[in-house]
Amino acid sequence: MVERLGDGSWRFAAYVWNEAGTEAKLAPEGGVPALPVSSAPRGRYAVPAELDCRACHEGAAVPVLGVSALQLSPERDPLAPHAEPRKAGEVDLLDLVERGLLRNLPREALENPPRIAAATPAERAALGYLHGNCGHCHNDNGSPVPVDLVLWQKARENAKVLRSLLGARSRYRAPGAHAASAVVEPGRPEASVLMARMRSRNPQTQMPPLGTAEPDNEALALIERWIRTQPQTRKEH
Amino acid sequence: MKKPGMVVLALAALLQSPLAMSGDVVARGKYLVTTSGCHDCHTPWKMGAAGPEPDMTRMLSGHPEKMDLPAPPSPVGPWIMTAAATNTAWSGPWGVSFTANLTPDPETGLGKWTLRNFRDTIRTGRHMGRGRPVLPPMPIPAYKHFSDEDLEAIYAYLRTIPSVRNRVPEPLPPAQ
Repeated sequence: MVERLGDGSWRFAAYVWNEAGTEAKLAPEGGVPALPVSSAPRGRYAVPAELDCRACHEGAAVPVLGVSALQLSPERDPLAPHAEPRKAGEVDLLDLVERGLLRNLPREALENPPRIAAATPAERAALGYLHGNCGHCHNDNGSPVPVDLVLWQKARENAKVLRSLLGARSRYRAPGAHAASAVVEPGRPEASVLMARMRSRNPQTQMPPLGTAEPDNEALALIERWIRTQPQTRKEH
Repeated sequence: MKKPGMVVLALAALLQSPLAMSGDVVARGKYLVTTSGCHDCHTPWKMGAAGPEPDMTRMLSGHPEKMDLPAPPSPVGPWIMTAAATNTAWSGPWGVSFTANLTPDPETGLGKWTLRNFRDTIRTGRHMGRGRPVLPPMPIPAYKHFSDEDLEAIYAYLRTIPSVRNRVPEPLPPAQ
């Protein structure tokens, strides 16, 4: 649970449901590293510590994640991994404006719903996935990690994101490697650090570093397809 | 002629100026780095005339990038931890860890880190405050209790030390 307090600060807490699903109890501040849950991968679920919650949520400009203009856009991306048809009751920018919950939205955003400008549909979906799943730490408008990878973007402004991906040298080096590899090596997903770290679930290597126990194969397939179709000469300046 | 009281006030104001405060903070940081054992692991050790000693020409630059190490010995019985002669590489049940470059080098050290990145790393035990777990023997369980003021002082001091370009390797996973 993420709660905004009267003084403007944010409180983070995790709760654990009982077997019957009738009551939830506050988890310890340090979380529960391996809670037995039969439906979880390998039968264990890691209830995050309060500091783990903060690690992801406090990287963004605002700690409520998942509500960027792109993520709330009425124009949904059909190629987005795990995309589902819109269900009744789900909100988007227009609903929020109509309900009076969102004020001063630029008219432009109403007339032309936010949409990632991209060279291909696969690129749009790939950048959208990275924006929604990685941009809260890899950004330049919150409290980002000190690396040069920017995955948070505004609609129609992707030059900075592409520049930090395509051909950009990664700070990370695989164990035993002495030379820097590219975050994205155009045309070569097997040589791209982005793929290797998204695919890994070694705790020292995996991306995201916490909150996931299994790689997202659908997203990996999309990112791989996008990288493979990039001309090897493509660089963003 | 100024009155003595005004001179005292002016001196007090000078001592409280950002510059004077900054010097105090850096000195406090140096004291904490020196007394908290940071050099023990983050400054590579060399063999001197009187035995092993920290190589201060590589002060706080972490495990030397060009030092190729063979695979560590297998842990036997209660002897489950092994350290390289530099005291910058450690093998144990977690795999092999290499101590970080704490100098202000922007590409291989803490040059791009903000105070918040540094403070969050010590508090959470996660690299950059958000990434992979920081591994033993880094004493996160003790250091996470540093006050905010102490961590700010340590960070301020680390910004003043000589930059050393040294890309520390990523940790190695445990042998299968």
